[in-house]
Amino acid sequence: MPVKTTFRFKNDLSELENLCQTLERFGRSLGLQPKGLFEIQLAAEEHFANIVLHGYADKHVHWITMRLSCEEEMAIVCLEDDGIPFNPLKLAAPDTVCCVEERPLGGLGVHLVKRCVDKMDYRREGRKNILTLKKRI
Amino acid sequence: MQITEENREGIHVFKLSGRLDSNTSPTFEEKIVQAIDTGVLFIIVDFKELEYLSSAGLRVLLKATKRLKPVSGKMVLCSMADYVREVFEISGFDTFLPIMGDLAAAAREFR
Repeated sequence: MPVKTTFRFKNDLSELENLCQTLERFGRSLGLQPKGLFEIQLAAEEHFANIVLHGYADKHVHWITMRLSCEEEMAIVCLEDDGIPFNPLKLAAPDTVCCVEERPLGGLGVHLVKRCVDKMDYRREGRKNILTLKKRI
Repeated sequence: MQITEENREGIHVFKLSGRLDSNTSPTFEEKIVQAIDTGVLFIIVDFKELEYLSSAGLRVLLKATKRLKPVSGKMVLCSMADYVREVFEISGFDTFLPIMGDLAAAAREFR
């Protein structure tokens, strides 16, 4: 029986548990250790949460697609959404040294995604944002 | 996520277990903000049973820190798994939030 590799989630934070569990199963099947499992879930969650919270101006249900694969010792997680055009690679790094009073509350998610994976690629295809995350197994 | 609260020698201790993510952090935010608003000045957050933390959790802690500062309050964190601690280091949160190895060490920070 072929292993399911494409999953769809609604643009709702309640889907996070499902998303992370799916990723944990995927990561375990590839032999990722606790740290790697944590990092891959964190990267996907941060990106997914950003899509949910900032990707849409309407209140409609949208579907976010996650495709999982493995190639040349890399776990590949591809997240696709039809939200507003957004390239996380272009976001400036947050200030991580300023004092507490000046710390902004946002901007950390993308920074964490970048630090948790080995490779990150973005492309826009038609009306879709496609983010590909690669993590060494 | 489960949150238990207890008082230890005048310090309000939050023990978190499970996952602190975008979905569960509002509950923690509500509890910690309520505690601070009702006058709690000394807080320990115990991460021993926490398996997972994302930026949503960091934001709650930052919010709490900003609320404690003007009233000369203090918050100390403890008992983090290595990879959870790394999230604090990557984000630079370890520069303003003391992170101790265990609850006893965290409590000593208030002497």
